[in-house]
Amino acid sequence: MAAYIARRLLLGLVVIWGLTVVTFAIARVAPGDPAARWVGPHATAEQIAQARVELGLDKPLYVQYARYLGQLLHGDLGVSIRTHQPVAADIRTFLPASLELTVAGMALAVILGIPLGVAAAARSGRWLDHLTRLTSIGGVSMPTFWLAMILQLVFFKQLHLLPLSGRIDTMTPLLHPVQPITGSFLLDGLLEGNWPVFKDALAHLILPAVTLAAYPLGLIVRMLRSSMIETLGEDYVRAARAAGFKERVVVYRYALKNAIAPTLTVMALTFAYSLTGTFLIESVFDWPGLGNYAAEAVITNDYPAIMGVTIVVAVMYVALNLLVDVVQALLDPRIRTGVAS
Amino acid sequence: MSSTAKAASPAPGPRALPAAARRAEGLRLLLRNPLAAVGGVTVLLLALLALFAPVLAPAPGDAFSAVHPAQQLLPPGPGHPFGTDELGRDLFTRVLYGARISLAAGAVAIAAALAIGVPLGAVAGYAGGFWDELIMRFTDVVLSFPSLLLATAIAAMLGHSLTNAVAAIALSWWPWYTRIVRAQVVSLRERPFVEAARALGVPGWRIVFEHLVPNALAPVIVQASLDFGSVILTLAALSFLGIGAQPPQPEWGLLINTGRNFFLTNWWYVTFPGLAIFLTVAAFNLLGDGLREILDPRTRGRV
Amino acid sequence: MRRAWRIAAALLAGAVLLAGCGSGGSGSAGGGSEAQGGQGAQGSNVAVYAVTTEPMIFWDPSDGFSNEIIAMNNMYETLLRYDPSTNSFIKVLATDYKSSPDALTWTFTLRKGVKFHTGKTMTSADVKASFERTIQHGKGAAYILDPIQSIDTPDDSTVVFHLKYPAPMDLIVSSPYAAYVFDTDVLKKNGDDWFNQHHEAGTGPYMLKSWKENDALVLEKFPDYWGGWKTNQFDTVIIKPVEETSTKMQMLQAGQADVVDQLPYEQLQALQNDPNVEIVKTNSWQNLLAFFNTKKKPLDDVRVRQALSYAFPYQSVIDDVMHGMATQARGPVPAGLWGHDDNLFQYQEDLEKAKQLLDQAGVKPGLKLTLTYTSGDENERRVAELWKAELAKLGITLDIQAMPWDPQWQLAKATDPQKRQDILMMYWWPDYANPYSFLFNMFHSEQTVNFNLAYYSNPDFDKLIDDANRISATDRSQAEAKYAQAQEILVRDAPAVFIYDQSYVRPIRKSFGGYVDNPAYPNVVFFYNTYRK
Repeated sequence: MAAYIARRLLLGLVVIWGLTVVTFAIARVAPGDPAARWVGPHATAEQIAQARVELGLDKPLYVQYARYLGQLLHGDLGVSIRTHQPVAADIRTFLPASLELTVAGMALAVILGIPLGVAAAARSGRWLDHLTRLTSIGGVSMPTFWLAMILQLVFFKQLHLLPLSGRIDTMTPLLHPVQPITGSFLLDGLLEGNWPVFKDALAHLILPAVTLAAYPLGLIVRMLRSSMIETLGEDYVRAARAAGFKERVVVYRYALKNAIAPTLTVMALTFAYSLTGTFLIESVFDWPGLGNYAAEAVITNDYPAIMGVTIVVAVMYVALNLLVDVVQALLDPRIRTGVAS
Repeated sequence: MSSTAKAASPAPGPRALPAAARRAEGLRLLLRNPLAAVGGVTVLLLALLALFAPVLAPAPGDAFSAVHPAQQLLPPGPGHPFGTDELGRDLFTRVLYGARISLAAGAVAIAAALAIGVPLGAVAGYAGGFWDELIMRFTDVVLSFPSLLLATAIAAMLGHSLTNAVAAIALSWWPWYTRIVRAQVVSLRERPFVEAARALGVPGWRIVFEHLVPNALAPVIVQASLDFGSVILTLAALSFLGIGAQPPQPEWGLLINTGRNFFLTNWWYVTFPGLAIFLTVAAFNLLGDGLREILDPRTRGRV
Repeated sequence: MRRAWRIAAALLAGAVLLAGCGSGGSGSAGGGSEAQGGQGAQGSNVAVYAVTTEPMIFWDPSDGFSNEIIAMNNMYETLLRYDPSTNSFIKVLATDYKSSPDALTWTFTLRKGVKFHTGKTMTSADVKASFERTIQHGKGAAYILDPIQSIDTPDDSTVVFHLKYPAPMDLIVSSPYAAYVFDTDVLKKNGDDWFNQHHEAGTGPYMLKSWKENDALVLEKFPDYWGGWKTNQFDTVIIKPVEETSTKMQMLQAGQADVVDQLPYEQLQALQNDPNVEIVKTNSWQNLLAFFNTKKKPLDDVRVRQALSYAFPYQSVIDDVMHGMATQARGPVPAGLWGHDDNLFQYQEDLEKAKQLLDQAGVKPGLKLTLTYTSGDENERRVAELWKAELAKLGITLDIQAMPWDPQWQLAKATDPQKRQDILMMYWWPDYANPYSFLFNMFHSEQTVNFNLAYYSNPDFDKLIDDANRISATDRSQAEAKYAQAQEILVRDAPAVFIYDQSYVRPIRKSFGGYVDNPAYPNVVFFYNTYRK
């Protein structure tokens, strides 16, 4: 078991090292002069030359890479060309908002996705199943940035039910000051019993979270439906049925427990994927998160920021992957002995 | 599209006959699966719309350089079923021509991903050992990025254009095909017809590309057609971020990107291009789902 | 695990219910957020300024050369402030100044009793130290201080600038960049990087309260400000980056923002009917140009450049893209800035004439030209597309390429002129109120390409503007005559299409009083002058 985990961990490290090579390589084929960008629009030639030295761009590529790797190991992701702040600090600033959004979106997807997936499987082939499948295909086929705008049109413009965008109204934290504990207005408001802040933050969270949930919801329903169908056909489930257990008990207590494992993997990976999904919707909702930051970086060729975000998200992705593998190995001994692969 | 069609025709080899038979059976199953049939028909319809866009569009010039500033931002109505944009162009025309871009770019992206992924997978599977390890570990690295993230990073760095966005998608997509082909080649490697060829002194590369690859292709082609929807969605996302298609190309994601400045006051601008993406991607996914069920005997009969 | 889900589900359901109550209860026609905002910005003496991008790019007052000037000009002050509407100077930290006849020695008398936010009283030593530090840093707009040879402080309230060559020092010390006075003593204690750790040490009416990147910059009034305070002035100023135009508009309508830096025309039109909103329009000093690659065939032929200048849809751009928020440019120096010439020749769209010129130059239909513009700029995009349509009528294909600024600039600076773009669109605005900034940077011959992106080179033109600049501090009218002459040459040579001078169009709340847009300080709101009506 320990050997398996060690091997997976080692592979994870190799992958992360590979990531740094790939991001570095991508950044260096990029056209454009980061030094010119760094000094701003009306810079003189001398200022650009000086910036090139300052940024280490005058050194050979392998030196630049070694330097880059060394900095990475110290948690230094370079300085953003656009914001002039350290990328690591930027990411620390913006990640919490994105995590809040992603967690909310995933929670929504899981809460809706599990009953839907189970129900579809239990009534496989009937209208509910078809409807659920249509919904799930709809979820994965929907351009999220478009869904975001449609929701804004409906719930803000037409129904006047929810705020258009932002994380909280500008005035709310001024009128009802919050101590930043977690960095999330929603949680801080809850923890401090600051209801106006909590309510306002929640109202702002709903549309982005629903938008973000669409894709993972589709995936979860799809995965769960197919693995449930498989499980429901297994002998022990039939045995449970034959033994006269109620259908509800059979489905939820016996079948779901076993069918959930592959869905769990999907959920973990979708979590990291959704973090990328925020690229497309945070700017629509003016959500001050990592996605918004990344989208801006992408447009302005802010390569340290692009590399930084890429690495952070990819590391989270690899780590979650690893975690899922280890958990599954603990649950299912076939995996670690290599039978399943 | 044409390359996909050609590659899908059964390659001469030991599996040719059963494959043809299976296809006939598959077609029948497809027709019996209502959702997949709907998807298939929609895809066909979209392809026809794209093909005949110059005939069907009310103002084909609007897809290229024409502008009519006097008619800017007209709501949908007779003459302009989808309304007009900020330069007075007919949005129906632009959405219709957008179908050409999305379908063609999707096909090119997948073809390019196949062109990278298939040979690598074949080499890894046939050569084994060091090359296998090297290629597959690199594949792992690339797959450890969420694909949208990698495509975004590559497209951003390559410079903003439709071609580069397609290249970025291909560069982030190929490993899936490498994995499939490698698995196929490994299972075919020891088959008698390969050993026979080897015994006859046929060089390795000819064995790989004349015997192994054609036989390993079928599942890859199926997977590739399943991916079509996701590729179109990714392309739209890149264009929406401003790093894909460039104005005045009527690419759907780009139309939404431009339209977002107006969407609260002129709802039609983002609505119709978005619907077009949604319908197209959903159609491909429905079809893909159906195909998967037909080809995967474990789920067959459970629909 | 199942229990966890149940709790999460319960929490979420509860939360959704609460939100429903919240907005349902307080929301009238406009929804919950609007009602809350109404009590906020309107009732309190807080001013909110919604800007498109993060304001705080640089924190160091010596290095600042970007969006942060909108905040800096409220936290820091300069010796003088230029008022282009009357072509005069407002006395800020200096109460008086004079220049020697040769414009080489400039003496400023400082205001007494000015305190820094650090508590220290400002003296001439601080002014000297501030300018010297900015010169020594050499970053940002520090080059505008290049004429300064040395600075003397004969007494606590007198500063004397000795110059290397004549320069309009009154305009220079009014610059929105690189001319701030700050307390340099705090740096001795805290290190030279202290400002970059998000601190300030100015004399301005507002001081830094808090800042969160991409979220909000909060300023509060400096009680010891030398100008004193009235009750209806704002205690708190919030500068908030809001990228999405729809959000900005909604904030303004809901009273969550008092002033917005810019909105597209479509939204302005919707705002015109809002009784609580007013739209303030001012000439800006920002103009849009399209540079021809004069080093590449066939654009090296002046007739072709003139033809393309005649084939430009000026009126349509003003009407259909800018919706009247701009005026057709007359040469490179924008209207409202001294040195602008109202009698200068202006091209009008005339496709017949364009065709003749092209025929004379032997250009056949089928010509393909590449135009680059900065990605994300909607106005540039629409202008390019309108031009493309006109050029298509002459059989010229215009390929439009959006690029982020730095690759666009790199391409423009490629060593081989044949590899560069054919046409490049770019804005210019001056570092301080000086026409030389436009004429020199964009059209003076350059050894290595920097901003002369037409690669234009004309010794006569160079001499005229260099001479004009040299005498501009002493003989403004003579300088203006020379600038006018230079611009005549330029317009005839047509190295660029002079597209439009942009107007600043600021939607503000009607209750936001005292706001005057000063184009010498782009996008800056001097909050000290504003109040709640």
